[in-house]
Amino acid sequence: MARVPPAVRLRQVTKVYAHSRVEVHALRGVDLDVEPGEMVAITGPSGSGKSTLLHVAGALDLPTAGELAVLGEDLRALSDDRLAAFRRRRLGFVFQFFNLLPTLSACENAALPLLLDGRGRREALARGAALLERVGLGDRLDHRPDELSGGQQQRVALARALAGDPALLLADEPTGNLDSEAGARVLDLLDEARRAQGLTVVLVTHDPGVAARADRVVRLKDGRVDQVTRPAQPGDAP
Amino acid sequence: MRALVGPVALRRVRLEPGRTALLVAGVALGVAVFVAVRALNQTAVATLGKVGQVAAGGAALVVEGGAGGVPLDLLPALRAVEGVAAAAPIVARFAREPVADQAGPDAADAPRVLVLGLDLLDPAAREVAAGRDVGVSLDPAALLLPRPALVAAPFARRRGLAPRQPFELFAREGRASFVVAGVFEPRGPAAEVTGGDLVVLPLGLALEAFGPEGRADRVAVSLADGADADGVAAGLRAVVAAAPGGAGLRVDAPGAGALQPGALLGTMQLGLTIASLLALVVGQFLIYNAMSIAVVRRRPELGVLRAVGASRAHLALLLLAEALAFGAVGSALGLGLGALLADAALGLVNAQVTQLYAMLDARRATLDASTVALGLLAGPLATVLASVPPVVSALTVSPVEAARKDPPRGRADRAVRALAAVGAAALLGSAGWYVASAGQSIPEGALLLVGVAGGAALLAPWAASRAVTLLRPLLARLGPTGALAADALLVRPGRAGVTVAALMVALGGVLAISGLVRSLERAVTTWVAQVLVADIYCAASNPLGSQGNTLLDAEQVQAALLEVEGVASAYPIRFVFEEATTRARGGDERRGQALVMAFDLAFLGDHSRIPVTASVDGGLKGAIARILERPADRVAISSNLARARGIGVGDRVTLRTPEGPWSPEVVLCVVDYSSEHGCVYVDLPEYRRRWSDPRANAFDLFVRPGADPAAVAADLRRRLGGRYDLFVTENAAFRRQVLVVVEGAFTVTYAMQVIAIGVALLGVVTTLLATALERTRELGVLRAVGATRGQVRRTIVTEAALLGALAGAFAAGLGAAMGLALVTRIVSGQYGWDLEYVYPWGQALWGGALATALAALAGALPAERAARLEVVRALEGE
Repeated sequence: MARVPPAVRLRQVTKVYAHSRVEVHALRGVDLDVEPGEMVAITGPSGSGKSTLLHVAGALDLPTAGELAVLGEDLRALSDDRLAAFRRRRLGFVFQFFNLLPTLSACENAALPLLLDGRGRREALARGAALLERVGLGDRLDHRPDELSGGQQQRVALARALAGDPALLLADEPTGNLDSEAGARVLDLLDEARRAQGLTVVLVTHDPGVAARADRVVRLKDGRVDQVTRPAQPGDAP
Repeated sequence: MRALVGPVALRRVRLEPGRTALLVAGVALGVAVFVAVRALNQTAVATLGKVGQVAAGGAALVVEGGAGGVPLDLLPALRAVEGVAAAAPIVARFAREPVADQAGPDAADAPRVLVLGLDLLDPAAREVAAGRDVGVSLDPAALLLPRPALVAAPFARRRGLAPRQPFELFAREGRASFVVAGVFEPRGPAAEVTGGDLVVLPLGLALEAFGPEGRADRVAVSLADGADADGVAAGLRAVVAAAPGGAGLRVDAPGAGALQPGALLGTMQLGLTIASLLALVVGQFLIYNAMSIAVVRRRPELGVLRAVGASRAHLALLLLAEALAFGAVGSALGLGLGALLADAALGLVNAQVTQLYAMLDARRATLDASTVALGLLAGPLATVLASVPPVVSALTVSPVEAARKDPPRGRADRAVRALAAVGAAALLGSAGWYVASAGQSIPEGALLLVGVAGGAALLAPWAASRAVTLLRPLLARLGPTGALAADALLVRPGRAGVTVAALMVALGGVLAISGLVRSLERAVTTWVAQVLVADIYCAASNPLGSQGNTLLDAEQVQAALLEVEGVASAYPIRFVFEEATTRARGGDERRGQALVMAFDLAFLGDHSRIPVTASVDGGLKGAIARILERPADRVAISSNLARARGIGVGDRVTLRTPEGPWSPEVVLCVVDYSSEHGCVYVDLPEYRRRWSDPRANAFDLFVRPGADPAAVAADLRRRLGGRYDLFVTENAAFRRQVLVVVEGAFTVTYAMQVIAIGVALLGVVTTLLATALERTRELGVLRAVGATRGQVRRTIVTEAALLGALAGAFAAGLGAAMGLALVTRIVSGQYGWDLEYVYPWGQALWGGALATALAALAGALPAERAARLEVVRALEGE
């Protein structure tokens, strides 16, 4: 039986930022495979390269060197417009600070990737409304972000991330700005979506509780993979 | 605090050269328009004044006689007054130079020289007239040459003239030849006015060539040692009053004559004043925007500074000091740019003033000390004023809030509503004033226009916000870029509104002037069809009858014209600005310039269908017959003079003439757009008798039945064009030229307004840069969730186009309001013309479309910047 290619494949990926006269080596030869349907938590101290890894895997930034394939695509070979299309059709993002557009309603925010993709407004908004219903915000469709609590905003962000039926969802500290109850709700919804859609999830977190929900925990240190562990799963032998 | 200026303020200048350049350019352009307009106004007034002072700089007193001049036979009596050391007659005229190979007056822009006629043989007179100003040194033997002329060195160099060489100028009998008797270095007003194109002739030769003979333009008087100027002036006045033909003369200090150049320039100054005011308003908006972008950029930095202990006062001073520095640099650049702009526009002003008021040939725009001071002050002042709102808004938040990369939103709403209320009140007040007043003076009118424009500008942000709210559903249908563009404007109604207001005011100003021009054109088109009935028009040195004509000997040229085959009749016309005093029925005496038009009045009755507004017997012909019965006691006037002065049929108008005040009765009022100062029509023989002036500015010609006017005109050009520098124009072309003059009267105003629009468009750039900067994180999110660079670009360009479209739409309304006030209150109140307001639909539509397109174009730079943002850095809000 042929082996299914990994959802994310990094080989000797480096990322160097040039700040004025100083070079910052954010990633120094990272090798990582994330299998389809897997949930991987990236942890590590500040400055270890967690967010950079997420940005590179999420086609927000390109590596300085190394091989990078996401969902079978060599991202380095794609033009900027094709990268944008790749992000809106194949990927979903959830950010720590929600990053909703403040002038759009919850429904418009949720439907944004579809609207950008040129789908009909009615169809896109219907999909946005359905997703908000799914995350428990069916009664907040016309609310603007500043009329919602932090937890609600993050649920809108999750709905937006799911709008394009992505195969890979990337989350940067998705609960970092939420209280524990709201954080747990978001993670539950994420799990639910992952199970329902067979999503691959890569999330960055400082929270061991969040990392414990992942299939694998990759710890970065100074831009390198320092340690890979498998948290105990329900059903594992004690 | 001083220690922070370098690292915090000045280092930014180096790190962000684009923003610095934009801000400085904004200040510089605003100041440049203000300075240029002021310099043009002042140059025109000063040059006209200096022409009046030329060759009288050494004099303590001047005897002058207005258009009629001073009889030379008064000289012995003037010289005999106790305390008079010398009395020097002076003639000063502009003359066109024939250009090489000129067969006719094709070279409409051929150079002109100032010709001074001085009594060169009287050493005392020469000292008074020429010693200080003109700088003539003279070898008396040179005057023995035939038709000797002393020429200024710059003129001699330009023409390649050497002593004893002949040269030609156009004079009253056509080409006149002179011989270079000497070359001198000019100085004083004469050199300033002419740039060195100056020729000095012996008085007799000047009078023979340019006329009228026996009269000087003025007499410069110097005092004997120890003589009291007031006493001598009183003595001169007594002599003048007692002498035959002396009653119309005045004795004054040099330059204090009856002709007040500032009062003469009328609509040109009105247009420029409006342009200058609007440029200031628009410039202020731009500076506000540019400063607000600077403060937005600084917010996190300000938060940090406050967190580490800097007080609000410290930071306010820091920002205001920076604004002051930008303002000073921008002002200095603006001053230079304004001088260049004024020089570039000087030709237009010369042509306009010459056409409408008086011969003007200013060579260089001059910035006087007050203009320089105001220009240097305007930039820093405007920058500091414009900085106050953004600085206050940045410093009234807590350090934590300030340090956030995303500034707080929505604070502006209340301010926008409050300003809108003030704006609405200003508009209502202006409307009330408009309804309550029948006519307004220029200062009152300027205040009314500022009220309308200011009110509309204050209302614009709120109105723009309401309009975008209404348009949003429609824009959302265009896709997310449309909705996001609308939202960007709604989030910060203040900044977007300021940009809309600036563009609206600039465009509204253009539409107001266009409305005035269209209204004048409609009135004048109808009028010329009724009045301009001759087949051919001839004038020397200028295609139209204007103050730039070479004055021709009427009888000689009339005879020459009649010799041309096909010419049936030729009517000479002489017009001259003269002081006219009127007493309104309420008893209000008013004195000012009026255009005296002298021609065969029977011609008016026989040929034209000039509209009559009041007549002693109800009609045109009857009233003309009455004048011709007693031309020494009756005249006609234009309806705008009647209206502006509050006089009518049966009243008297007192004209200053060389033989003293003349107060004929008004028996006819007709519609005439020849001069905003109003016209008095005098029968030509009566004018010649009273003014002793046999010259003409122009001729109206009728061809014989069956003759082809085009062929006759061609024959006239061939036979007389080169001889008299004669422009020969057929009826249809002449009518077109009249309309061109109407349009041309506002060319400079248009030019200044176009710059104001440019300034406003820079405002679009700064606004979009500022909003893109504030929305960096949003743009990053957009890109992260899949927006292409093109979509980001489209969002910003749509936003820009929306700003332009709103400004265009609002300007259509503002232009109508300002135009209506201009046409029906200010022009009618000031000049007495009863115009029907014509809305410039074409310009409004084009202006709106152009504003939208140009704003979209102005959005290209910020759009490109936004599209090029690195997603990751944008998400971090950097």
